[in-house]
Amino acid sequence: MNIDRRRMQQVLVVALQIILAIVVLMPFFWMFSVSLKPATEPFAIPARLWPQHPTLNNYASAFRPEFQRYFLNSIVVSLSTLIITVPLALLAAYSFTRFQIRLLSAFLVGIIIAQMFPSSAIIIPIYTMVKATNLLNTYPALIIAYITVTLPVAIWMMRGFLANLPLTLEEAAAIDGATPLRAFVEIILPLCRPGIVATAVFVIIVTWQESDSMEYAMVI
Amino acid sequence: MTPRDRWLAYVFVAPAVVLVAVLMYYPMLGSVYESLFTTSFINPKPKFIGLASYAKILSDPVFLQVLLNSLEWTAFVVVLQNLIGFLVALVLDQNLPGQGLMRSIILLPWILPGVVAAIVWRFMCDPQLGLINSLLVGWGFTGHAVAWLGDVRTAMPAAIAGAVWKGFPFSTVVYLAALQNIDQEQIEASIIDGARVWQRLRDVIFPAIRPVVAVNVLLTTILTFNYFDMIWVLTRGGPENSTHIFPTKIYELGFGQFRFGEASVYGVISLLLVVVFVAAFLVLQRRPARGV
Repeated sequence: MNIDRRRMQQVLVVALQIILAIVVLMPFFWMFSVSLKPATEPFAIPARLWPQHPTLNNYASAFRPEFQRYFLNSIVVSLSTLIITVPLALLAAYSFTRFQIRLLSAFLVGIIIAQMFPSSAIIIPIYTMVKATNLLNTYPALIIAYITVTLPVAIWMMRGFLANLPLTLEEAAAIDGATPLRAFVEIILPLCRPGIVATAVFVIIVTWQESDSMEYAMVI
Repeated sequence: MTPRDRWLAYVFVAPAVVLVAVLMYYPMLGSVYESLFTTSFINPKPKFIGLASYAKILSDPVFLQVLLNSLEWTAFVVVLQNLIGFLVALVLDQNLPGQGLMRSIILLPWILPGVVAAIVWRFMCDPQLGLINSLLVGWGFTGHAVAWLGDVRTAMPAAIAGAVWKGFPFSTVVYLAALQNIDQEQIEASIIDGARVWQRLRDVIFPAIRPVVAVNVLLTTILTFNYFDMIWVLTRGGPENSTHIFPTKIYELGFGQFRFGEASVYGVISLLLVVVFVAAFLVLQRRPARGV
């Protein structure tokens, strides 16, 4: 391929990428622009891309005390879900990768199937459960809802990481007389730190942005 | 394996399995059970009616509409999201300066919380505030603003466009990773052999990433079928049920009208549809690929 043609292709690709970025970013830019417009301007026809008299008033009125409360809620719920999900997923994944027991494989398949349950279908019984235990409108209700989303995926993620750790390490430990529990704590745990971090990041992202019917229902 | 190891294996698995059972299986079975009863806002005491709700709902034209809407929604979103995601991945899979930044920009809609993305999209479509209308009117395509989300004909396409905008970055990231795993020597060999871009796509790139495409299509189909926030925020299923899909209908029936029995019927049917789809997909996947 000659140099000129290659150059042209590169220019074309860059141009395409820039157009793409504009298309993707436009809605964000528009929301930002509307957020800076004084009360009357958003309805002006034709609308302007950038406000004539930009103002921060809308932000001032949005930062009410409730806002801090929402923020705190998100943090509490996110961290609690994380603290429950990651250790449970790690322990389960360890068993799933290290012990060949038929019942365990059945459990693993059961967890995949559970992931297909539409959240809108299981939400009504969960709502009834939560209501019966007087947990409506509380942190535990939200945490329960999030666990149904995070736990199955976290188990699969951790399983992927653990499956890649060679068994020989534990076999060596066993020969040296370590029990499986000790091998898990002293060898596996330190080695799968990257896996734990990745799973934790996943849980935080999901709980931070998860906002489907689950969350709506739990705060009715 | 000693009995003690076995014991340890079960102890480690138990908490997770119990949680999945209590928080997912029990509610799912509960949903099936609930679908055999009827309740309403006026009469909240459950009354057993067996499969009568199913008969009633299956013969209801609204059910047919929700089913067709769900299929339309899922098919268009999945196809467009994967197609656009793949094309964008091809464009981004170049060793040019500034690629890191481009990839982060493309990812933005996907990282955004679902409700926020939906609200951003509503801003775009709004007849008064919307940018799309401003541009159309400003450039003289239409004389007056169009209420995209308020018209039976345009509400669903507008929602689909929003879901694709929000979802394609996910496919892009997955396809980008797959593209970068392709053996570069194969690509170079095909270039030396004089393969055109289209031939290279069809004969080298696509076969190499076929497994990733399959998994991604399966995943996005399940996610899209159960996708609640976009439509709920944009239209709440309206106008005239024209954008109601299973999740929004279930939510409206259950928490809007307290008809938990009917909502559960929709829930059970929606699960059956997903299970049938996944099973069909897995069976088709088992079959060897044609002509490769």
